[in-house]
Amino acid sequence: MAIVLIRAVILYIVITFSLRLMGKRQLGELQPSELVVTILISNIAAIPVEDSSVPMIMGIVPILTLVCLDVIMSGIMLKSAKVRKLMIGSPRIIISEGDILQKEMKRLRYTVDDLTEAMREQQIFDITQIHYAIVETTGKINFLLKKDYQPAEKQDVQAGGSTDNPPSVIIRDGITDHEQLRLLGLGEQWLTKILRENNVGIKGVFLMIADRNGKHTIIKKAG
Amino acid sequence: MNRIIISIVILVVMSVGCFISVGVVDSFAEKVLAKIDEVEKAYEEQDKEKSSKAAKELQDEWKDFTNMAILVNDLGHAVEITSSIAEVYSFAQELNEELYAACDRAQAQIEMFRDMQKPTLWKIL
Repeated sequence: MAIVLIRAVILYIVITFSLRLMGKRQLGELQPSELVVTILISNIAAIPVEDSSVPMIMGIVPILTLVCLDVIMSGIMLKSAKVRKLMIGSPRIIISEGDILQKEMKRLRYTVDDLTEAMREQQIFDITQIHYAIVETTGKINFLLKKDYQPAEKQDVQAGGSTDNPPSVIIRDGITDHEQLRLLGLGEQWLTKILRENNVGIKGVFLMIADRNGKHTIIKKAG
Repeated sequence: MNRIIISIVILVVMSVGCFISVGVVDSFAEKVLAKIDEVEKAYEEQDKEKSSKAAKELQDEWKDFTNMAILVNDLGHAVEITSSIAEVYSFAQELNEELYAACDRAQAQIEMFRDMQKPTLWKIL
């Protein structure tokens, strides 16, 4: 039993490391090759945990091999458009200038129901409003509305606005995020000054947010 | 880029490790098989002391290798070989005629254990 426990801990560490090696991109929408790797990892990892007569190395070696191959392949795909196209395909247009490309839909095995469902997910209920629809390599459909149906933007109505960076958290639960403070260009001295003005120490702050201009909000700890 | 380099390094280290393990198992299997031959020869000479000594050495040799064996192969195979070698030891002590059969069994199991590591096309398929 202890072997199973230790193996599970080791595999957890190996898989976490492997997923970190694969990168954050993989945790979102998966490309076909990434999906294969993810499914295989979960299956391979289960074998040495379930059966203690199988050496754990038989689980670790294939997991690391798959992940390393995936990372190397994504590096090759980054350099070569041909390999990229071969491995993950390319986006396909299924509605062009308002016309549904039925042949393309059939080729991709997309039904009208798939299309209308994807439309509804993006709050589009009238197919005549769509100018372009593109099936991405992940299978997701993105839409471009006809000009008349596109939401107005600030520049359309000539409204002003700033492009200031949003505020960031610089103290959470009494702990300063020095990295954020540095990125905002505010410095430790500024923080000390503000906290003194507000009669509070770092440990007494539940949450503090600030932007580049030094505009800040402090929420003190209760009690 | 760092991830790609790390991946290549891991892949190379694992590949080298896997192929080295094949070599280690192979050379060890040869040693054990030679020891089994030694036990058989001692039995043919009807030398009880010599055959017991050779069988003991065989058992010790296998014990030393058990950790590596269970690292590269299913535990079941290692257990089978351990029990066959224990049988060889016990028959060798008594100069029992069953020793030949036990030696043949251990030999076949070790050869199979060794060959299972070799990445031939048929095994890969």
